[in-house]
Amino acid sequence: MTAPTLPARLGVVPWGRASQAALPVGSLVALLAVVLALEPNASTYRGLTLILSGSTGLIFAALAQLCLATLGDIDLGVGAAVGLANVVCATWLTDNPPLGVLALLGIVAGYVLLGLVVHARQVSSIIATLGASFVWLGLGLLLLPIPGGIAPAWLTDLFALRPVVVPLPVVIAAISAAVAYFVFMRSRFGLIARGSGVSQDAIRHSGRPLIVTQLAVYALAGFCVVLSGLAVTANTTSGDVNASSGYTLLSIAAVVLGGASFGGGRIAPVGAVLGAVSLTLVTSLLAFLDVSSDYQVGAQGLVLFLVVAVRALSSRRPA
Amino acid sequence: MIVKLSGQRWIWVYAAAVVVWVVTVSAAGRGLVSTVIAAATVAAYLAIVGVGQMFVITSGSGNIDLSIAYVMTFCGFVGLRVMGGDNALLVPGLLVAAACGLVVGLVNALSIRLLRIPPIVATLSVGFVLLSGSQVLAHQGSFAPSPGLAGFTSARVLGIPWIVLVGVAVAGLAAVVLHRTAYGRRLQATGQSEPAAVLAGIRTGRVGGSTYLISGGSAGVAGVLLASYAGGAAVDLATTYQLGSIIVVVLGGSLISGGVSNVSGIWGAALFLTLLVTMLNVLHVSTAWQFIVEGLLIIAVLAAANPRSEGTTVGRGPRRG
Repeated sequence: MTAPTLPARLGVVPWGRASQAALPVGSLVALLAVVLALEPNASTYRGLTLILSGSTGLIFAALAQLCLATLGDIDLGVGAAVGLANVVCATWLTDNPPLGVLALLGIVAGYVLLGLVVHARQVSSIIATLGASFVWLGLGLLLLPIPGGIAPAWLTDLFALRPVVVPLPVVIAAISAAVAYFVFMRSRFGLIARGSGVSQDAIRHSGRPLIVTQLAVYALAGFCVVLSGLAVTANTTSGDVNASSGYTLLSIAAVVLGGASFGGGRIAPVGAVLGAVSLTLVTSLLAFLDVSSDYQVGAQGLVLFLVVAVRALSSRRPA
Repeated sequence: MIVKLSGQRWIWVYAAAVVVWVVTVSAAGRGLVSTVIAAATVAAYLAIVGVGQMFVITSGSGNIDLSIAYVMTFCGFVGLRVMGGDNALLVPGLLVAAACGLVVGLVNALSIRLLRIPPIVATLSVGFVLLSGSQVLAHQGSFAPSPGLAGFTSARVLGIPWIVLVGVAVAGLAAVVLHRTAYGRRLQATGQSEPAAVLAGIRTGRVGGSTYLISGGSAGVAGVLLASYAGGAAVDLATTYQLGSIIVVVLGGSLISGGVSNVSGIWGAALFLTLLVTMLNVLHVSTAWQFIVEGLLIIAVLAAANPRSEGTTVGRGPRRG
């Protein structure tokens, strides 16, 4: 019953990295192959743009989830928070841009407060984020009681950009994966953040202000939520606080599929981005196969279940 | 010291319930007794599933059951479908609903213990599969509850609803199991320190896994009762119970990190939450503001009442030897 030693849990074993990468890369390739076999048109620039257009929002939601997973926390309110950001973008950001920007910064501030509750007051992140999800949902309903609103023109134009050769969703995925990798795996900040997820005492004894790092990670999560809200707004061109409720489960699935554990410290930013793209392909695949929408949420649950089971059984440590 | 602290916490939640009760009655200008009886009727379902959740949380190591709301809805559909509005099929319907809940609990327990999936991921993904099941059943038409069971959920004896007595009996039974049986002692020992419990010869895997059966079974029965009370099942029948079942456990004075549980606090917290909704309705607060107030209040109460360091990490599955 000995706990794994700390260096091993930080995931520095080289073969550990290699086996970690196999699952997200393998499942992405397999899913792409199936999608292309069913729908050859998907391989074109237009086709790829179309089937991956929904991935951008999920990528940022997954990165928000990854931030909290780094500290050993979990965000059960990320879907509702993205919903609120979506509603703010489709109303205030269009009608009154300064107010919209202020409200979006308010969401980031909300995440910092959440971090304060979880880490200064030691409230379980499960309950704090579930409670916060009610607040996000209520605020979103206040702003836009029924789905509606309209995306700002500049935002729709931005997401309608068609870069040469590589479709925009792929460009965004690559950039966000690279940025997340450097922030979490290569920077000093990322090292301290991951370290605090493994052993708060170790970081505390090193003389670093632990709470500052933790709050910064929460602020980063809030920032990713805002980016996700912007992407969802551009994709749907309107606002609906419930439109992204599925992101809570899907973001957890993407993070786990990517190779992270929710025990803290062990994360895989690039894997999480690949995971988010894979899960978007699952949704496209279900649509191609004409699976009734009744079964979609169950299929997503099943995918998450199988992925985690495979990962847990193939690794020596608990997933 | 732990007993003293948790004791204080559950007294606070009853005090908060009384405050909300007084505000509600004075705002409405009537219904001193009827308000509390109506609240207790609704709170009973929350208390029953809260007790199941408490067993799971008590076992520690990040154990939590996020499938409760989905089990309730699914078993509500299945139970009502078996009954088909017929009193003769009341007992089979109840039994099938309970069996469904137990099977889900077993799946949860096996995925966590054998497949080593973190509890939060295992129960959530199992829950989403059940949600699909409920959606499919919902599209196959609506089913009326058996008149006998529907009558039972609103019937009273000496002015007290039967369902409240059932809820109190469930809580009483849970208290006896937890504090007076060997199983209860083993469960608390497992939650307080799994390595120590293993050294004491406790099969912590079995003890922890069994709590998911308790939680699943109680959610199954509560689901079919709730569907009968509501006059039929709907996909969103039990949505609020996902958060609610956890909140009543924690507000009631149990530790989210396990090992310390409080049964009487669950009823206090269930009454508090139900009366809070009643109060917000009486004060004509919109649904949006109700969400905001509930969310903020839950966070604020926990932040203020937290007496000692609780585990903030989640998803740590059972550690292997």
